[in-house]
Amino acid sequence: MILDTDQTRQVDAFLRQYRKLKTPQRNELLDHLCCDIEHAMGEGRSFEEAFIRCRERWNESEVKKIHSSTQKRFTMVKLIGILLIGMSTITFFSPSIGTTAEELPDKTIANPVIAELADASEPPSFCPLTANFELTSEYGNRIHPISKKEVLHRGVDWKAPLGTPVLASGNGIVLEAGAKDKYGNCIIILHDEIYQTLYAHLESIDVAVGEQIAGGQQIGSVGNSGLSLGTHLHYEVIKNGVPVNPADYLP
Amino acid sequence: MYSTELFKGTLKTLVLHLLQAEGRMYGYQITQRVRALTDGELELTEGALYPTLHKLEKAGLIISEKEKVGGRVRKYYLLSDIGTASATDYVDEFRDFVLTMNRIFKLKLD
Repeated sequence: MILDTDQTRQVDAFLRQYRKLKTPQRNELLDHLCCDIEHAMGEGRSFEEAFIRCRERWNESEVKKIHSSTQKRFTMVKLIGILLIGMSTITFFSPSIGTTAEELPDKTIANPVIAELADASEPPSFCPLTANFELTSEYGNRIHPISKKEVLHRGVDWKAPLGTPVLASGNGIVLEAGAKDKYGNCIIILHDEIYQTLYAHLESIDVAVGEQIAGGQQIGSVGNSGLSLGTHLHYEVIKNGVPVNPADYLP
Repeated sequence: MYSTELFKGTLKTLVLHLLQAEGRMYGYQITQRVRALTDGELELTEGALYPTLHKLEKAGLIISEKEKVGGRVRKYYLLSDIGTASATDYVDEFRDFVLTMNRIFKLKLD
């Protein structure tokens, strides 16, 4: 039993959230995870069950161990490079300024590192709707319009006409696309190992699981599917698995 | 499960020995083979196996071949000429090590 193209793509999409994995390593792990899933399916589990089990078993530290074996050297080279730049600054400044100059290179060392980290996880920053629509519900605790109980509203709602295009808020890959209980037709995009965004109550879905998405690309249209009382877009930004306030990530 | 401390030093030898015995193998197959040979006592995790394979490949002891399987590519590993020559040395060294250790531990092995 061998997974079909669509199933393989779903596993690949899962692995792609670990952006530090280079393509050859990811391909090798893809085969490994597929084998594991096929093994479980051979014991009578469905693909969905086997995939969930495989994801649970697959913790992040395992991936880190694999990636560190080849990445350590690269990071070392980068660090040495930065240090060399720092040291050359010391020799440049020290004859004229003396002791105070030694504090300066420290900053030149620290800054590139910070800049690099910030670069590595660019949060999704586009607005998922083109025009300015009315924001009908903000992120935070609220009385739920249907259950009437106070719960955390995990995202923001914009009231928008049926069929209004919904755009991806950043580059990424489609992790989920389809009907999802209360969310109705729903898309989840993986941007990197930190950020995911979720678009709910859609009328139509224009993308498939595993597809590469560019920020600003249309992925579906506004609808009223799932637990919804009128056509609107529910948009969530999920950081490290926890929904955060999308207002902080909007232009 | 055994402590990683104990396990670590024998990983290279274990992989080389398996490849010598079985010829060509891919990652998942190695983990399954180890599980079967040890009746599930030894769980070779991906995080331990793949870095070992990559190190051995880099050192030129093993080489790899790629093959398409369904919608993905499978990477097979096999011993290089140097690997074939040194696999036996690794196993011999391990054997001597165990015997020497046993002079201290005096384990009843049966």
